[in-house]
Amino acid sequence: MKYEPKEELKERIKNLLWEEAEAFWDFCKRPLPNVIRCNTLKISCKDLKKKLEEKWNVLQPYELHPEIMIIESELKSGELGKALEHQLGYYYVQELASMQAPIALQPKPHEKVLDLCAAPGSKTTQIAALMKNKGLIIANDIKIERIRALNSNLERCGCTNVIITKMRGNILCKKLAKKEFFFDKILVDAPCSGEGTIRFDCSVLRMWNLDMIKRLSGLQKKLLASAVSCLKSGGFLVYSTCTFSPEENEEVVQFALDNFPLELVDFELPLKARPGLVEWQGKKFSPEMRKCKRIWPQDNNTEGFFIAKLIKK
Amino acid sequence: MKIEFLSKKQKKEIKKMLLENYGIRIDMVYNLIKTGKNKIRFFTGEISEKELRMLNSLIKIESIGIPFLNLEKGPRLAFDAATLFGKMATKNFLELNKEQALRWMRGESIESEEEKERFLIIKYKGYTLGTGKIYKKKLLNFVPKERRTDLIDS
Repeated sequence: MKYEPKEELKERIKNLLWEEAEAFWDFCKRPLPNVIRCNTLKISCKDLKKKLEEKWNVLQPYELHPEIMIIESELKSGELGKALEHQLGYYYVQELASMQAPIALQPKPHEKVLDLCAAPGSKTTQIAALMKNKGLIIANDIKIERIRALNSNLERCGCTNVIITKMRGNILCKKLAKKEFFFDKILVDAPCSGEGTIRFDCSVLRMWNLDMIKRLSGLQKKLLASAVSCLKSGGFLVYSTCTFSPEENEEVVQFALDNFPLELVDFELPLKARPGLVEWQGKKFSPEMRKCKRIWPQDNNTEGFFIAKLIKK
Repeated sequence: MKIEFLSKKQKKEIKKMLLENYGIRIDMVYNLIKTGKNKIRFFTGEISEKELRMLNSLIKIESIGIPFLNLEKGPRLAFDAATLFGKMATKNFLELNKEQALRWMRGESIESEEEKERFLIIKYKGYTLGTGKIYKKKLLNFVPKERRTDLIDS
């Protein structure tokens, strides 16, 4: 790795994984597999596989999710993102762990869905595909350069049921709730410290610090709280991050459970996942927190992720 | 964002235009939205016109649906709309050979024997590669920069 983890981070990972911490750091040094998601809005999984097999060795490791494909062939740098099939929107280059949040959300055609922190659009395009372009998605982000990437990806993938908005997430939700514009499902894929993305970009190790985690935890609580205000009763909310720090995960979910009419629900994923923590550094969380899922790189050869699914009572 | 819903009559005209020009039959149960002069977007979001107008006055809408048609000097399907609907084209399409497809996806215009000025849907080995325009014995290229590539085959 170009950057070494700070001692404080090593200690925290050790406290989360104990004897497995070494395996975790070992995986962080390995390159990620080349994973793509077939964009079923434009092509069937069967047809895409057939086309790609003319040049690459393609695996579909998950029977219930044929859209997930692993390219086993050795690729030139940037080849996946420059191939004709990519430019035509037949697939999205998306890390396997990142695909799990929309799988947990289970959006259906004709539902109204809010993707609060949507850019660059990997999960929004996945949600649109699961909804077969029917229903409505509001995809929001705050930075214009990230909105440009989101827009380009939505257009490339032919996602026709999406409205893109550019606002602070909490302000957007406040305005929508005031007008009683409620959603069936909401994804809050919150900005985070990115400890789970070390394999993709180890520069997160250089920027990592506890102050940042504390600051992000506050922002995440604010975003989650505002999202709840525009969720229908009986609606589902998925909260996810690509980090391991409990302050950004279980602590945020506990805050939501303590302050809003929410319950954690069980959900299935195609990946091996570990339960959420019920305690961290002396702080106790609800036993229900075990329903959350922690995805560790060493379990599935992926990046790291945290996912919680909540229902509004 | 300026949003103007096309009326039933306008949608019917566009449906006819697509059918006559390309043989593409699209059910116009969805919304077509005009966001600029001659620029039409395709939007399948299930929201009433009234609700959308309310949203547009309330929050900052950056974009809605995907670019669909440019009506300036004829019906030109946008690149990403062509890759979505182009496989339905039964007329006014042009099949390129490998060398032409490579040049096309690099963003080059291609020489043509034809003289009649018209828009064509471009195809290559079952792929739709957007729309081009025959103009002065050339097939003018409209592939957006961010969709260009020189990796069209293994």
